[in-house]
Amino acid sequence: MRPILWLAVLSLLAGTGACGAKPELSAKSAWVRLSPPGSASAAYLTVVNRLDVPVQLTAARAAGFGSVAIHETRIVDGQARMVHATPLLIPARGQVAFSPGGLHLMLMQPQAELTAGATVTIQLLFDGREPLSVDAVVRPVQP
Amino acid sequence: MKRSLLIATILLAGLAAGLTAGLLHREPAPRAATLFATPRELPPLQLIDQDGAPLTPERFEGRWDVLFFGFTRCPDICPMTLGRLRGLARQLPERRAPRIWLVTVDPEHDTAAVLRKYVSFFDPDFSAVTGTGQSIDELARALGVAYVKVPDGDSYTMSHSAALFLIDPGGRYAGIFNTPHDWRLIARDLGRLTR
Repeated sequence: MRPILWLAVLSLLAGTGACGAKPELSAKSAWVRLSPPGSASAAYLTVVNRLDVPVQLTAARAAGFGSVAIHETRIVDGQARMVHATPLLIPARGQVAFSPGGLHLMLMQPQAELTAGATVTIQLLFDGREPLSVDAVVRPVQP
Repeated sequence: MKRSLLIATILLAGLAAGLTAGLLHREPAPRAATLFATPRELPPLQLIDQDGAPLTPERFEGRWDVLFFGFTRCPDICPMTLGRLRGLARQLPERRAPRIWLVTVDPEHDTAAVLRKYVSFFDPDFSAVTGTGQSIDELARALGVAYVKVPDGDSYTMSHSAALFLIDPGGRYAGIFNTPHDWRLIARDLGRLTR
């Protein structure tokens, strides 16, 4: 039993070593803004594409939320408008940053109250690619 | 001898450059607020606050007020702006801090009770305004605010002004912070206005 366990650990470590190269699609700097109880919230992150071809982000899911929409706030002539941003093109060997006042994941129908410091697992769905999961930390309202 | 003359010349040139830069620096830097030459009176208001109390123009007297038009189901620009405003208001001594108001552009959903829960999450001192669609229109017209309901699948969202509106301590509409917002400049302006 024990040697098998060690073998599993070793193969896992070997696997990690083999995957030393960065993943083709990744997400970094993910966070969720703490929002009033029961309200929709927003998540922000940066999607990195190391592939030689562009990929399309088509949808997202977030644990603890009924639905997620990929939106962009656009301010045109002083008017803030929220527009759907899917499918969102992540350029080849490029990245797209979601940030306040711009691209955001709108997290709707919260199933539980968020707390600062907790994490929300977000899954990004791409056209013809494996889904990507990322943990986003819940940040308090700006002090 | 020649060398000390050279050093003296360099020092003098440096001094002159420094003085020039200093003088240029004294020029007033641009401000974020557009203040009206003559502040405008507000029309009679048929609105209520987050506690259901009538919003009379006198409520705006005695302090500077900052109004932001938004709605509670707005996930990005509204919480971002309210978070920023909280930071700005807290930078100032309490007696000078402007009152912050969220005026809903979605009165259908944003009742006084919904707004009370929402704004108090950001700051217990924040206030909110709601009323009938018509009464919100009247305030929006007086301030030159545009907003529109946009169908979105089987629901809707609101497109609204992202500007900040300034009411002076006389309860008059005094100016506006237009977008894009430079929060550092807005903080400086609010600090000066409330001095």
